[in-house]
Amino acid sequence: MKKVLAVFLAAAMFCLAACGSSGDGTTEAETGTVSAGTESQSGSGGDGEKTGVLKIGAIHDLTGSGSVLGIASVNGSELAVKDINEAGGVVIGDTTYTLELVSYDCKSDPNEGISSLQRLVQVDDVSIVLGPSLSNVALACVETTNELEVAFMGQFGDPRCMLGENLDTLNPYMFLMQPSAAQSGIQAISYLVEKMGCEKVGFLIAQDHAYCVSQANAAIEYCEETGVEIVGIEYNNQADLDMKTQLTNLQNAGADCIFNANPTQPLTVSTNQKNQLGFDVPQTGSLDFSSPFASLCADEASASNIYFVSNCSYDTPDFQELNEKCMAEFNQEATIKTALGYDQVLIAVAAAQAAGSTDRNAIRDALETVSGVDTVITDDFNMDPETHMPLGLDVFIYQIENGEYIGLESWSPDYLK
Amino acid sequence: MTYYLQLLVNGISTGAVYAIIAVGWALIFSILKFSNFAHGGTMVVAAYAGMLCTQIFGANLWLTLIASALIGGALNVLVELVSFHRIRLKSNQLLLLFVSAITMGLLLQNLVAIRFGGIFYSYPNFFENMNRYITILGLSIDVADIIMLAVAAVCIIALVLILKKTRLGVAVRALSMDTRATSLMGMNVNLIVLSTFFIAGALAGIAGVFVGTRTVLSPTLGSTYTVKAFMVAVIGGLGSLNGSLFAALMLGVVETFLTSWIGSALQPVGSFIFMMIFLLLFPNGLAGNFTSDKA
Repeated sequence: MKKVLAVFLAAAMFCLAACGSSGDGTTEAETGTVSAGTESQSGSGGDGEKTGVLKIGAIHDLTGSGSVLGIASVNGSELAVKDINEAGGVVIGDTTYTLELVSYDCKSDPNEGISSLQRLVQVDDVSIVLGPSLSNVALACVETTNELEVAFMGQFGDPRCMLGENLDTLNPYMFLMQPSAAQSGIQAISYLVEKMGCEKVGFLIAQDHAYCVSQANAAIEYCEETGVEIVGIEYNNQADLDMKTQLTNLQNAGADCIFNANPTQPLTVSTNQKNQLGFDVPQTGSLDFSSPFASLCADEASASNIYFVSNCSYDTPDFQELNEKCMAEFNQEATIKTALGYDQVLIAVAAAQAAGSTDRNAIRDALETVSGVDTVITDDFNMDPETHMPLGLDVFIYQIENGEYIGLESWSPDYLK
Repeated sequence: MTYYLQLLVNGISTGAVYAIIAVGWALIFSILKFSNFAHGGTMVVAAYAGMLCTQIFGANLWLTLIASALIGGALNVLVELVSFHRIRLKSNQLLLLFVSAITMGLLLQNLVAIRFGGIFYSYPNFFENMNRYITILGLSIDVADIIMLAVAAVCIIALVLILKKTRLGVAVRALSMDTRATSLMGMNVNLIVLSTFFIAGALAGIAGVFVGTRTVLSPTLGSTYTVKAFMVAVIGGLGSLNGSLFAALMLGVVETFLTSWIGSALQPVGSFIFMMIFLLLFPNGLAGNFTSDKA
């Protein structure tokens, strides 16, 4: 019986090995670890069009506390892959590639992020990895991207991801594709101070969330340098379910506005509880206030008196088109994160085209200077090679009132100029 | 002064939620002498069921509480039959009951995660036609907290009356003292255990609605509140209902003041140190009824 089983297993392994070979007789493993992507030649006589598959990896929070954002991002990336493939793929060098998205769930856990990154490169052989909005995960992955020599382009807004702990050392494989946490924090608080006339700011900060801490620190620095009074700085953890104590402290300190630097779940809890305490002052914070935040709040009264910085207006034709596609494909409205997920694929493809190769290092080099990319967020995306962050992205201020998102205006404070 | 009173109010309202959960926990401990770590799982399932009632049927707070209580009770009976019944009859080893409880708790939590995709949900505001908070002597008090305190008080008083004044209560108390003697007296032990599980599950369901109303619903909520219930049960004196009630309120207030004084990050450390010091001073807990045969 054992012999029969052994023969059967050997035959099965042989069949699997045969199936693993690509059209030109080489196995996928033979493409090597650095040169990613698979190619084959179609047509007769070997002079037909060369085709291949460009694999793009994605790591997002699909089940943890940031899953609302992660799922939206992956949806956006899937839509972009679908659009590009339906348009005939993408030409890189002399080969037409179809795109394949391989995404994994990092569950808000830095260790899961590292293992997902290793799996994407070493097992799935992707050419570039798209990253989450979780800066904690990205910070943990820095060394691994150096070891694997793969570009990790994400929504992680903490500048330390790109520039190291002291913001003076460029991490060669880390790239940001949206405004940094510092920029976002200053734009948000300056709007409340300069446009709304707020004078006493209270901070509520998720201390275990790198992006939120960086964002709040930039806002605190703005307040200190411009003479705005900070009446209290309160901290919470992402998993906290009761923030009434911190809010009571800020209320007691006489804050006339709140800078709420929290990811979506604690942001929702604290916003609901702020209303439950009758603490009715304007609130600002991160992009986590963007849709679907208002629908997650307990009621319209909670989702009111909120002003936040968005990467773009929801009313642009590009965003509306994306929204229609998202509704058709997922029966969900597109959010800013959907747009960012979509744009991540467009920027990755532009870098691969500029590199003329699917080689991971060639794509990294090209990504450093990628420019003029037409995305959903902007018509002219340019990467700064010195910071690995985008150059000159506009932002748009939104207000949430009675659960409705109201676009206000483009905003750029003098402080940043 | 108003500030500290406000913290006290916040702490009591937090403690009221702990109380409802911990009293159900203590009820099970008192008759089976093991820590039912599936209690948090029951609470989460009932809370999500309540949320679905509000979404599908537009149920108000009272209907949601009743529905969640019934679903929590029924689910807890099922948990007993699936996880504990055979172990109880065949071996009655506390360690097996303990492991089975943890397994069932995780199963329930993960089933919710599969169904609801790990995304969190908020309960609707049940008080849309009125101010969500009222102001008394400068204190802002959430209307939901007032209702929660009242409901918690009613539930616990009703439970005490059931235990003291009814035949079922006498049977439960007898069972908590000696299972074998209770059986020899001609009482249906299985029925008493199932009834107790139903009552504990109903309390978990009610707690689930209030947790959802105060915060948001996520599948991992059960784990968080299971730890709290365990702390309350230890401080209150394992298996003691009165002790659990006072310990829950005490823990809620202590946590609130610690968050204010040392911050959210260190508050859990402070709470555990408080528990350790308390147990050093009162090894038998608040109630003084030490149950040595515990798991």
